[in-house]
Amino acid sequence: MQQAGGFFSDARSFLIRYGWKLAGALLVAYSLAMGLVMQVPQLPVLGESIRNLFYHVPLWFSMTFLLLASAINSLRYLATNRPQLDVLAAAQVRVALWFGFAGLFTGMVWARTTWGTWWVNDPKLLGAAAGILFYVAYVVLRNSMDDLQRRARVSAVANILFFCMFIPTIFIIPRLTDSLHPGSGGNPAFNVYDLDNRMRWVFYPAVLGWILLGIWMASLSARLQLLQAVAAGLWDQDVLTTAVRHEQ
Amino acid sequence: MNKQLWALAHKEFLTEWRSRYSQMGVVLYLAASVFILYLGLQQADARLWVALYWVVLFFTSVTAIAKSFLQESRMRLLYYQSVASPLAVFLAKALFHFVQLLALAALCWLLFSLFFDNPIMHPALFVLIVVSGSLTFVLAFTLMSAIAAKAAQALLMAVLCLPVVLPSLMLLLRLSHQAAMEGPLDFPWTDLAMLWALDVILLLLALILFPYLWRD
Repeated sequence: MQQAGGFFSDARSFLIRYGWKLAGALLVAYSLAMGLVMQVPQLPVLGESIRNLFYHVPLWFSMTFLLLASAINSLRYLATNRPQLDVLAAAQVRVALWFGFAGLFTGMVWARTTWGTWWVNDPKLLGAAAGILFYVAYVVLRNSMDDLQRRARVSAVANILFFCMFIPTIFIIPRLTDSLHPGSGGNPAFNVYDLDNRMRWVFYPAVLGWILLGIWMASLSARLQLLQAVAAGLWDQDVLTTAVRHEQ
Repeated sequence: MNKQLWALAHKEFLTEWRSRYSQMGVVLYLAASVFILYLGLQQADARLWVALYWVVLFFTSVTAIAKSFLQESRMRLLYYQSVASPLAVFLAKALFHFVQLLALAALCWLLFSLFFDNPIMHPALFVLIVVSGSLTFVLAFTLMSAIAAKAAQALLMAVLCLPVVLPSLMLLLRLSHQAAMEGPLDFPWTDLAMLWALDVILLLLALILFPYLWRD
């Protein structure tokens, strides 16, 4: 980064530091609002509930993305032993879990209106519930250890292992059996619904926005934890400076 | 590496042979589970049989393998660390548990056939399924045992084990239902291939990740 200052270089560094956060917040706000007010194609059974495409699906996408990012950070932790990567990975799992719960809830509401029940015995739903159980187990495992270095290493190993088993669970196995859920068993995925191009203009921004917002939430949570750990004297100050440099 | 592996495997078999009572404990656990099921059910149709078979085998293998690393004293683990490569330690344990689990799976089948019927129409396929399933269980649970030992929480074992084998377990149940189906067999190559692919993934993950757990 340039030290010289001047309006343009300041503006540039401002955009690099905050632009993606601003973009995430704006995109999510835009998709939340547009999802409610835009004209949607009227399809049998789906009706107005098609709007849930803008809320339910992006949550699942960003959950998976955050879990992938978390697994990569765990790998990087094992390679470098930098504690801030471990803290970041754990924060990303926590945020992903919240997204997972929200995705489950929006999915249940959608299932209630289109399929008639809150819960169906569907492989994709079971896979999703199992995926949430995976990561609740991860959180329990992580919190059961006190030694910081051991906790970081063991939970990094568990995180990588869980992610590598979570992906087959949620994506491969459900495709083996029949399912009501779009994207399996000959049931079309959302590509067919949003042939309507206007929906794409809300759906893709929503996906991108939720992903950016999730990354932001996780990085805030990780930074808070690092600050608390430094304040408690668990780590020295330089963890923070490297963390900040890493973030930029 | 090879020499270490055989020496450690030999030691593994020897110590387990000398503490046979703990093996008998696992066998008793298995027999008691099947007996309780018999008391409650008396008879089971093919679908139920297959589901119960895997439930009992899952919990028996968790019980059998959970103590793998927990039972080793801290000093002995330090000694292994100084003389052997982590892969040799892992593979020796996995080898022993594989043999152990094959025996338990066979016994489980025997007990189920004794108390209930034997609904398996395609025994060769079922043997193939059980061997592949045992391999999955062994790889996953041995690794999980190392994790649980680090966390010093035996209770976590069952919670941690289920997710790791969940995709395989879904395939195993599906395949076993096919093995219990009457009529000519449409050999389920795809499912078996996926099961083996998951085994390979697990093996690679275990070999890559175990050294990180080992070094402390």
